[in-house]
Amino acid sequence: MARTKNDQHRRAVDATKGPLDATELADAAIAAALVFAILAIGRLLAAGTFFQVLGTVVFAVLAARHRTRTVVLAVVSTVLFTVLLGGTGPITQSAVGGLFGWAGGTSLARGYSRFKTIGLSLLVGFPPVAMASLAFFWLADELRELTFENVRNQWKGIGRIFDLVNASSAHDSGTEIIESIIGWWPVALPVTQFFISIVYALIVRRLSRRVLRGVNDALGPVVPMDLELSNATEGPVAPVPLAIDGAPIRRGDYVVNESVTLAVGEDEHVAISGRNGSGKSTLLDTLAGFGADDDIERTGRPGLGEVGGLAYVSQRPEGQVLAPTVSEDIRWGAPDDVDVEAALASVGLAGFGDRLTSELSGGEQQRLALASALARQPKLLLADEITSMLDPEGRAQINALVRDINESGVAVVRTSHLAADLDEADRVVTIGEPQRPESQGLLNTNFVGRMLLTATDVSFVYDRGKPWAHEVLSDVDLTIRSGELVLITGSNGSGKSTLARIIVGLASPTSGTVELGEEVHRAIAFQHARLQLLRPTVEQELNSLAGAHNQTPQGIERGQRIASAMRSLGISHLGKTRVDTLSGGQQRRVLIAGLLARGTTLLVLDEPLAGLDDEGRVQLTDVVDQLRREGTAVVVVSHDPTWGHDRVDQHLHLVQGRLTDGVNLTSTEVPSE
Amino acid sequence: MSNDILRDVPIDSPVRRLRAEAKLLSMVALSMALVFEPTWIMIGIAALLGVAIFRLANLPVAILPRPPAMLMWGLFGGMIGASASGGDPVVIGLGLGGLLDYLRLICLGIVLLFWAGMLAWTTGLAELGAGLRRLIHPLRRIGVPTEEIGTVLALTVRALPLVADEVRVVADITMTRPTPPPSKRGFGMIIHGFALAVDAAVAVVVGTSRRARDMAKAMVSRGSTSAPHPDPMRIRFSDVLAVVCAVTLTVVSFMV
Repeated sequence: MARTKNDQHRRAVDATKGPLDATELADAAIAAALVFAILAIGRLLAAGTFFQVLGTVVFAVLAARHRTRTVVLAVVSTVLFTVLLGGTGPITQSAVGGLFGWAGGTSLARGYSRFKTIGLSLLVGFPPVAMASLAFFWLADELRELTFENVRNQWKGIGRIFDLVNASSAHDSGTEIIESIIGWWPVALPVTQFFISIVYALIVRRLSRRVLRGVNDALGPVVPMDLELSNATEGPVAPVPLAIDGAPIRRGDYVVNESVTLAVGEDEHVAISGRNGSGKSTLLDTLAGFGADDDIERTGRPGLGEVGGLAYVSQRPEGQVLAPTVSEDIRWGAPDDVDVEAALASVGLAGFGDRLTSELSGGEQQRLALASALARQPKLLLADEITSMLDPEGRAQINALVRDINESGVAVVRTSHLAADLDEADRVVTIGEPQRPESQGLLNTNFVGRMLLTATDVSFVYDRGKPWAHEVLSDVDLTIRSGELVLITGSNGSGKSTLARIIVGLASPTSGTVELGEEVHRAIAFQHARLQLLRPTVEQELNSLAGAHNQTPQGIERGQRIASAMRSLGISHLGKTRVDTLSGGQQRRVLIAGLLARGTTLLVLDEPLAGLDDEGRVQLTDVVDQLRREGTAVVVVSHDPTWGHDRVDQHLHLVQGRLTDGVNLTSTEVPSE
Repeated sequence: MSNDILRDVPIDSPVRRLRAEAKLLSMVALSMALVFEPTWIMIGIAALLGVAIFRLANLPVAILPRPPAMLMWGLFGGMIGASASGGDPVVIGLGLGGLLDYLRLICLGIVLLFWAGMLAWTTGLAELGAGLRRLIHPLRRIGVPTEEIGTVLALTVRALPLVADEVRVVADITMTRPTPPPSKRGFGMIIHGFALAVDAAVAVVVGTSRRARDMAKAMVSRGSTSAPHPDPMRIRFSDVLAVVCAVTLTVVSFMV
């Protein structure tokens, strides 16, 4: 059943004609960049062949999920960029990777047997490879002779070293074989390549099948087409006024919220609040025109991205930037006569036109996204959690900007769970059930015990000796004891991530020392928990994270540790659940449980509260208390100095790599009940 | 990772002010000369020219990457075999032919890499993407979808720092995964390494696919799936001069 459904889908994918849509373009570009990065690393480590296989697997996964045109464009882009890596090697690697990747991926998508896969790979890959290399060797005759001469020399040299020349028949027959291969190179070369092609196709098939299975587990086997715009309403562009009257909100076939009522008039500023999973983002997507919007009453088309229509800005600052430079980014899709300087000036980015978008801070990238929106003179601005990834300063700037935009006559609908954002709006609409943030509370909060880690005069210089070297940490002192809660704050680029990597042992300080206590096991939970969760179900994930491979006595003991970690984090009921269906907060708890079951005694949490609603925040705070009660030291790294935990033992604030007014609470203030 | 290797070094110089496509074409011409005429003279000319341009570009010596130790040992091993084979010319009783052939091949590789590095160090990726797009633009006359390729090229430039970020985080995560128990040494270690590689590949592809989704949504939100055109080409004398010199050198090397 599933197979036929996939086959149907595949046929639909193959039957698509015409230029690539947004999803295909983005996937092609990301694959091209990934293969380029892989080949660049291979070039640097002088291990080109191994990395070529990895690049081929990336193309295979792309081919299994997309039509041929997508793969061709990705390969063309990669080949053009690999000129930068020097010589003919990387260019050949990316082209060969594209051919064999396409064949391998297409075979996987169509369920071909091993033999059919080899057949397709040979059909597609072998002729161009053989012909190109024959032509190259024939034209570059000097290089060919030089290469052959070196092969002869090596063989002769080895013989001389072991004193075998003219003394060993084995060496002589070796010489004969080499000479005949060299003499017959126009035949020997393609024959060798033929057999290598078969082996290569098999390796690619084996690896890609495993990788594709993992990718399909995580992303779903079918590339979602939910970025297509609905055309329910016709006529001229008129995004506001709009109204939804008690209608359900859907993502695909799945009903996120049973009933939502909302009305937005011209010039209005409406904020939507609600707990995680209540459908805030889905509601904004629906308003923007993604998916079906039959239930929205409007007088005209929403006109997403059109002049005088609606503009949409989302949560992740770096995710919305499309072009390498600021001015190109503004011009993307904007009217031809757009005044780039004026658009930038209106968001306080005057003179940023030539800057690289990748070097902007999160707040600047969000302002750029707003400038891009304003360049279309929209009637309605949709803003989905646009401040949740920013530090307080960036948040205040964005809020002021949104206020100005609204006052200039643009209606604004924004989602947020931060009180400061909600206060900006004319009115707040709450969807879904109200939140119930209730803390379990802890009576005794002083868990501080033995020393786990002492850092003395720690400094870190990136790329020491290179012209772009810069010191990100200078002379940091830090002691972490068991059961302690340490908060490290600082803005982007303050060095807090580097300090976290040093604490957890991923980086070594360029000067200074890090001393560890006995029996210290360190682990880090990164901000995007999803990257660290690789297995389909919670149970499998916990086993993998905890390092349980089998049912040996060690395995059983680990099983008990996993069960106890699941209890501590309140996820005992989630064992068989698929990781994808969990909310961000739940995924974070699964990750922490796995790291705990591994025996972690020093746990670093990177931005643990980003994207969580009040309830999620309180739950996580309780989790932290629970960990500390069991003797685990918890280090929280955040850009938010107002981190809501009132029982922080040590607060270290970093400004440009230096500790400033670090408050040590343990010595001054031990809370008592 | 990749953007550390091919790091653009923002030092103003005549080389930097050259158009990306002029540098690209010159480098391709010169590489062809080297590949088709790998003589000591050509290698010498390319190396001297390279050093001169390196000086002209005000590049600091510190940016030259250090080759990995493994590679150095491999090269050293090859050198022993090549030296032992002897051959003409003979200097003070030692046959240097084999060694010289070997060194010629190695020097060829180093010079090619050096030239590629020079392009990377003096050209921003954004500029290079724009240059590539201008170069392929005329192909639209023979039916090549240059708009579409141009958009993918522009998005690839944008994607590189995102991908590098993702690769870095996944590398960190892979490093912190638990090591297998001692019973799994030997062949078990290889299996474990294979599983780890597959896991890491899955994580990178999944992570970058999510970035791709953000990118696609941003494109739809802007109402356009086509990148704005780069600034039109303003051909300057220095650009023409660079390409003409490189092409002349290549043609001359073929004729001599």
